[in-house]
Amino acid sequence: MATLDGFREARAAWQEEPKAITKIGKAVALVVFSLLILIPFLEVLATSVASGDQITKNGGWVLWPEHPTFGAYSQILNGGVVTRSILVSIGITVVGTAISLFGTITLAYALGRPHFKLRRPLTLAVLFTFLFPTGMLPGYLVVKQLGLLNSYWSLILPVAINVFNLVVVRGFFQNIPEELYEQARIDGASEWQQMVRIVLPLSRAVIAVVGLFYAVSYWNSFFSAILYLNDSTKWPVQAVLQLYVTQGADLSGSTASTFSDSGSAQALQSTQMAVVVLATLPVLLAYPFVQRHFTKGVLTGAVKS
Amino acid sequence: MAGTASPTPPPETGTGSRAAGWWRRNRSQRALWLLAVPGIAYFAVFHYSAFVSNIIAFKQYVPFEGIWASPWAGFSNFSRLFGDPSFWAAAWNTLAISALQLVFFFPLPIALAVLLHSLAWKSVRTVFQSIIYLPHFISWVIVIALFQQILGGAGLLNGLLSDGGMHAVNIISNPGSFKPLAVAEIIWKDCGWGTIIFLASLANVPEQQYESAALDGCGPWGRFWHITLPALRPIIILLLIMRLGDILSVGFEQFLLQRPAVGPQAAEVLDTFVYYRGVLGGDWGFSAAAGLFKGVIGAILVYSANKIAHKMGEEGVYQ
Amino acid sequence: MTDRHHLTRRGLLTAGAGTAAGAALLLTGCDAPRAIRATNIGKKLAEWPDYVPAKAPKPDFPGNDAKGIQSAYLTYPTDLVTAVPEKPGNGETVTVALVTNEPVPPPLGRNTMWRAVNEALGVNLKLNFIPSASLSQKLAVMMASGDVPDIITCSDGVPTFEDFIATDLQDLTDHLSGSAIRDYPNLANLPTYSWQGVGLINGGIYGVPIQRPLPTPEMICNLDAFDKVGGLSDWTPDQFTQRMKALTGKKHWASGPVGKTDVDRHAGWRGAPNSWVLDSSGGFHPTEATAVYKDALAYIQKLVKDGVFYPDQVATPEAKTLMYGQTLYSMADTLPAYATNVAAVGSRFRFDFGRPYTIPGVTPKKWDGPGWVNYTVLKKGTPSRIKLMLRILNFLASPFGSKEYELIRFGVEGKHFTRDSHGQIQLSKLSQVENFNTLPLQYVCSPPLVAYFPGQPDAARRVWNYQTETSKYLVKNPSVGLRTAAKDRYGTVTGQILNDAATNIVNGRASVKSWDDALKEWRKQGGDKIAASLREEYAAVHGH
Repeated sequence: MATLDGFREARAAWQEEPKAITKIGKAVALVVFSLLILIPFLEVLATSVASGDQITKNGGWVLWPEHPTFGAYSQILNGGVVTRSILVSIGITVVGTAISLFGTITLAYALGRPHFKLRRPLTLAVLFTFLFPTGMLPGYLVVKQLGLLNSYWSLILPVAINVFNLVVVRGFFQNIPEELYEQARIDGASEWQQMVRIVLPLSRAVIAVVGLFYAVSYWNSFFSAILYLNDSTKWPVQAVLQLYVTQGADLSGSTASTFSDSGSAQALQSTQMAVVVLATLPVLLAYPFVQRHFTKGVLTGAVKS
Repeated sequence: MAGTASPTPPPETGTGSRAAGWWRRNRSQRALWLLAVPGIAYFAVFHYSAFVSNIIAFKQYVPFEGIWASPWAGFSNFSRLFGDPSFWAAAWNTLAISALQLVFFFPLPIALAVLLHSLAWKSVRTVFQSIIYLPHFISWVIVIALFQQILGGAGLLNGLLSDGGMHAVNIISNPGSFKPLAVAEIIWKDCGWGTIIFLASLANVPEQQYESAALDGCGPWGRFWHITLPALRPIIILLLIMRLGDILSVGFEQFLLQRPAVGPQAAEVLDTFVYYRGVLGGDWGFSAAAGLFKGVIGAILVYSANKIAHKMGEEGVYQ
Repeated sequence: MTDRHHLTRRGLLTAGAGTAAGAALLLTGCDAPRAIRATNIGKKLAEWPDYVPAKAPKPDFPGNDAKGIQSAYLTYPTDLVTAVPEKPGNGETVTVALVTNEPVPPPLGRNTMWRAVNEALGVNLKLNFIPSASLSQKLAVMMASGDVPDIITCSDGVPTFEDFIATDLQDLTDHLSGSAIRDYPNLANLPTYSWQGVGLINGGIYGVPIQRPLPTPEMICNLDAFDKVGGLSDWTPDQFTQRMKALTGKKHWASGPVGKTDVDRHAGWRGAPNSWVLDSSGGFHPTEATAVYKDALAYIQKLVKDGVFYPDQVATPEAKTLMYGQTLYSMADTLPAYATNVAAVGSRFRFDFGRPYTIPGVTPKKWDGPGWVNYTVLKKGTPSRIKLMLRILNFLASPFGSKEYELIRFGVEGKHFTRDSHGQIQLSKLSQVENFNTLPLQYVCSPPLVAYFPGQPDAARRVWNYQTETSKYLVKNPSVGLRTAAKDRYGTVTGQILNDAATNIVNGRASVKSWDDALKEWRKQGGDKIAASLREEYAAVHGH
């Protein structure tokens, strides 16, 4: 479809014109929902560029910055720590997502083939780990025993495959009509070739989605870095930014906080909001490229069910 | 296309000799096994090697004595857990919130995905899609602050009410309205993000199906019932089963953060209960017992839901 | 549900953490069983370190370390002293796990301040930053894995950590007890109450305290606002209520969000003992079980009903913002928070502290805190290695008004700050990135805090006056410095029970009568065991 077409309603010939009431209903639903999201988001954005005085005057939040300033952003980016950590994060996210997708797709393919003899026991074994997750200390000790402490691999390998994602991918694979596999087998394709030639091209949408899930979880994760990497110069961006958000905040309001001392400088609301913006921005930029893959029909013409 | 996947083994194809067939099958088994190895190795190394530690649920575990030297405690950790009224209160809260999430949160991303899918105007659709997933990236601390800023005792709504000379309404710190509030928060945060997976399912529906249905005189509703919904059915059932397996987890941070405002009666869920009663006090055996309990309940639910799915002719999460 | 990734991370910390500990020893192999619980019972007790005030410029208002009053300086001293004549190190590498509340600073290669500190110390400091929110998890993995750096900043609240300290970390008794500490004059400058607050482990000295003034937490007030309604002293409970109500109006509240700390403070003002009632036979009873405490609950419940507290739960930083914007006129906070507050509002309004109200026939009590905010422990090592570590700590503890303090606190002259014509410090732009918060050596070791607020001598005077005026009301918490297995195990659980119940009551979600049920639950969940264990431990340490 030519790009220009996107700017008007592109209704196929067979589609009837919807009733006015349906159209209005849809429009209202979408606009209301979007506003409920956009207004707080604009507030986050506005607060991130608001002056300290205005924030104090408003009691924390600003809807319209009177004297916009990028002070919060320059404060965060000052010193080069955040800039470096962004590069680390990009590396972790790219490598991690690739590894995760490889592991997930291969295992999902094997577990999705009905004639695979170990399918049931292995599937159950995998589901078991979903029901009984690994705790922090055993996880740490495994990482230590493998010699992965202080290595970037410690941020990737322990979370390489997510059972939820695995099950989703396998579900999509299983919905590919068996005839297609059969066709390929008659043509002499091995399992690997069937996977690469039949399954993957038909599964672009789900791979894009699961890839996005993995990428986002690598991008957002910070705790494993704090746990496994003593050298803070290796920290990814979320671990570094986390400190701007949690500064001095007693999360639980419980009596058990192990360390409390409000003697240190206090985080400005603008800095915290700038952190939100900075942390979301890369995902925002990457999203449209991913979105393409799961909004376009891919099976078109390939199958007759 | 949803119902067409066949779980039957591939028919013997090829030239027909038994030996050749066996060899081929075997080759295929070997190939599948090789494909599974990286993933299985991952689960073995990072999950199974650590799982044995759950044995402490049956011990009176003291870290400095070590896991084997710690005395056996039989089921005392479990009896302490089950004998604690706060545990049942927390379990009840968790189930109530899970149920509310299932009824009010779970269907919303599906509806929203269908709505977006039905938009003929592609650029509008892309714009909306790019907006609605944004809140997923906002941490709970900030989501709760945003809600508080609007609905809180000192928030926007009460400011307007008091300007208008009306009584303040207590939403944020009212235990009675907490559970719906918690669900509203998660809807705001994750509804848009949740659509992504359903959009992917819908992307797999061939356009021709809609076209030929329309040509056969099937209206928009008919097409929804006969094409869209069946296309989503397998993934919905899959997600539902997975959610049931996790029914005793409803989130942690969201509740830990709001617990002081409404009190434990309303906001204590299993994870916060275990945090306060077990984790903070170093009561490892007790915490492990609670973890096992959650897993077992999850396993029972996954097993039953999967059975039902099979009865309905679905694949479920395992066969 | 697609949020699963997110939950998994949390899962590690919560439910998962339960399954955690076990595998620790399982995986590290077969450690011999070590049924060691740290206790002072039946142990020979180390003598407390001598207290020898260090040489420092004369304060404008001298403090009193016995009473827990800070020294106050109206201006930055111009006659700086040299506190450590010799470089502590000789090129050694020293790894430090240090807690931080701030974003990490630029790495050593691009950090002038860090390099200058290394140069002055004569060692290569390798710093492992631990965000304060993750401290307990990091200490837990340290304990399980045995990966220990040379210097660790730590805190109570990690169960069995003191057992780990006693078995795996360095006993400092020979180096610090009695007159031995005189080798480290700046450590000898730490007040005795801080050492006692950290306490003995197995009869020995293991932890070097990061000192904090005694009283905590305080009712920190907007003095200008309170002055308009009659001030923040010389009041009765009724007058207190009146003034709080007078300060509350449309979109203004007299106080920040309510919490158990408010009840504690008022209970103290009404004469309730600090945390525990120590009876004549040495028995421990929770102060929460006194009639006075119940009075305080009822009183605060009434105040909440009157609407004087901010209606929403906000964390301390947000409450501070509201306070600076004069939406709130008072809040609970620590004494050191005063410094940030004073710096943040400048001349817009004045801060001061709410004084205890008076009830006829009652002497108010102000509850002491522990006298420290965290403490530092050392990895086991040869005597010469330990001496090196202590020389480093001694350097970091150089008192206010010394050149060493200036380096750690403000950085390098000409780079991080300049001096104006009156000898006062003017911070540079570089100090926004490189400062004592991003390079928080203050949490590894630091001198006693003084009251000095650049450009605001009156602020120093006020806080000194307050401490001097109220020092006669200070009472100790008899359990400070005592660690027991029962307190370890049940302390947080039982504390949370009372905290939850108090929050419910003051917010009107439960009646004052229900407090008795909470106390019963407190006993059931281990409160009695804590009390009994404290009694024994107290007798062992203080004699009875």
